[in-house]
Amino acid sequence: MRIDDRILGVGLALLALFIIQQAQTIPSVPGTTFGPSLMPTLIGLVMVACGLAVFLGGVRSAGAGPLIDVSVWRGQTRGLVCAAWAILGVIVGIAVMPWIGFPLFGLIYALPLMLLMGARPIAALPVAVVVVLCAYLVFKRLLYVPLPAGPLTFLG
Amino acid sequence: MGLDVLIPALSLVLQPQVLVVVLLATIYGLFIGAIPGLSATMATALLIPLTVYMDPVPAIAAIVATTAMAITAGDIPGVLLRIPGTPASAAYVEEAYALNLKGKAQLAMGIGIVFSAAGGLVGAIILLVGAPILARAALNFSSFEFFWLALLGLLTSALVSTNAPARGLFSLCLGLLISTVGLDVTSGQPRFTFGVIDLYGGVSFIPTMIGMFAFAELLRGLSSAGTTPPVPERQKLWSNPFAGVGRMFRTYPWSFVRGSGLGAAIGALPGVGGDLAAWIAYGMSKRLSKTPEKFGTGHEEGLIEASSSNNAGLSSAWVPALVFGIPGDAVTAIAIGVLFMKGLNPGPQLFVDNPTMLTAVILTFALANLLLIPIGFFAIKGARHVLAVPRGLIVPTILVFCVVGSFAINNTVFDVGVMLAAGLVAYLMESNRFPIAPVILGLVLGPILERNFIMSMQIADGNLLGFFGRPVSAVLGVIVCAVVLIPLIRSVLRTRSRSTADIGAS
Repeated sequence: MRIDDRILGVGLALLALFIIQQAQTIPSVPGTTFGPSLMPTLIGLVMVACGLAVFLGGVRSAGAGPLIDVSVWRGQTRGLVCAAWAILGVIVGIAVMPWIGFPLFGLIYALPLMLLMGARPIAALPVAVVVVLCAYLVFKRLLYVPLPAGPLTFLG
Repeated sequence: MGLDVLIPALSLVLQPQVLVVVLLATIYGLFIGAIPGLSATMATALLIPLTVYMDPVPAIAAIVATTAMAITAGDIPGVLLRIPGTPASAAYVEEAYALNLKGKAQLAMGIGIVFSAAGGLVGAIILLVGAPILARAALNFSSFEFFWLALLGLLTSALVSTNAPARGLFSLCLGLLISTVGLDVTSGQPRFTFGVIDLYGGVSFIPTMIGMFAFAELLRGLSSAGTTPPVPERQKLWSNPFAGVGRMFRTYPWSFVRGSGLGAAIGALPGVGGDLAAWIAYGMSKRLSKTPEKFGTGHEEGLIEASSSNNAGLSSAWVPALVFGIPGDAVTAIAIGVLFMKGLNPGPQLFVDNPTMLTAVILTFALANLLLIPIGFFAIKGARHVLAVPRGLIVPTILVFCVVGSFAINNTVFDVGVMLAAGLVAYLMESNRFPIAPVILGLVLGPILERNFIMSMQIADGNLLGFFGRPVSAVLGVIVCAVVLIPLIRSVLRTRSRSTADIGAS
């Protein structure tokens, strides 16, 4: 997705102004001249300048294309569905992983994506199970990462 | 450096644990590097959650072995399919593919592997000899010099290695800004936490990096150009994939020397790294060649020079990283982050405090590059099979590891969210031509830059001229100003000449 440089530039500059404003709310420590808000303010100022530079660059090459260009996505329905699954799956995973556990989540996340991406079910099912189990066991048993087990408590 | 350091360092490296880790990391790097669309940086990013649980020497050895092999294996799809496996191979992909069309695919891959290993070894020797000398000089550096060095590394990565300075600088600022989130170390005040408790410790760098380099890359692969790369034709399997490579050393000795020398020199510049080295080496090889007309038609010379240079650059990029704590590219930035987490703060003092450990770290470069040759042998033999693994199986597998790797750092799903957010931001940034590497460099170097800046401001009492008060800091300061001003002047001149041309045309 490409955004026109004029919109992008203004957006970035506004974001930078918001950062500068927020930086001013950081309380300084009494007796010090150069407090915790100095660095974020300076960064914000440079970001405003960058945003304006992007905007000016966009003004110079104005009319080159649509304001928001989504042509790379055109004709990629299956790819977009896969991408949406990849993103939404993580969001749902964050919410439900503490309850359903990592192994179940991993399987529900990876297997349909494999099938969506055109893998044959006979290959996808064993690969998905092995991958999720390996990831779970390596991190949980070898590295002692407390991944939630969910209902599959027998996995340890 | 004497034998008193070298021998204990060698014994640290030649331990079964380290050797097994290096072997596994090399094989892993081979897979990721050989698959088009998966880069060496992504391989490193996904590896980090595991290295956090290792000792420093195997951890760094794993990173080094993975990147060295991934960059080298990136040549394989270049030769067979004309698709560079990693950005570092892009410089000479046409040449390598042309060799394949001439029926010399195995020679092209053989050159890629042997000269990468040789170039990497040259880089490792330069690192082993050069880094301690530089470190001795850097021992006298104060906060002023470190401030300028950090700024130089950051600005070079943002301004020089991209062709859109304003965007590079914005990416850098974003990284620096993310590094300020959380409790300020000196004052203890929360910054940009917006009341979220999980942000008080700052934005974790590993989930951010996994999101930006792995998740975003996969999204890009999914949402556009959903075609699977073709499986290469069955190659005639020779008994020895390295046949004819030895002759190349004798025919083009200078290409190898020049390529590795140039790669090592460019890689050692803070903020530049190895990818650029390959482009410059290939261009220089063509200019200095006796037969420049053969370039692009499947000629070995440029291939030799460029493959030696990108691996030499890969090793020497660690010079500024280890000596000053200023990483040269995204991979060293990641590695520096890991060293910090292990309490080994890179910088000249580390060369005094722990020379054995550092020498051991450097020796792993030699080990990793030596291993490239035997593993590379199998890589050439099995290249076709690696490329034939369906993408539909690989991408979801990597996504599962993105999730588990992000979770594993602080054992919280919050970091999985950080990974997702970073991935989406990076996807949008890359679609709009914002480079990603400066974000990670800014994130890693941000605290160092800020600490040295605030300290210097206090010493100089707010007087900016104080930053130029010491001889080395003055020189560094002038270089930094040049790095900022030259692209600025160039872009102003370009705009002016364009508008003059417009007036002339109308």
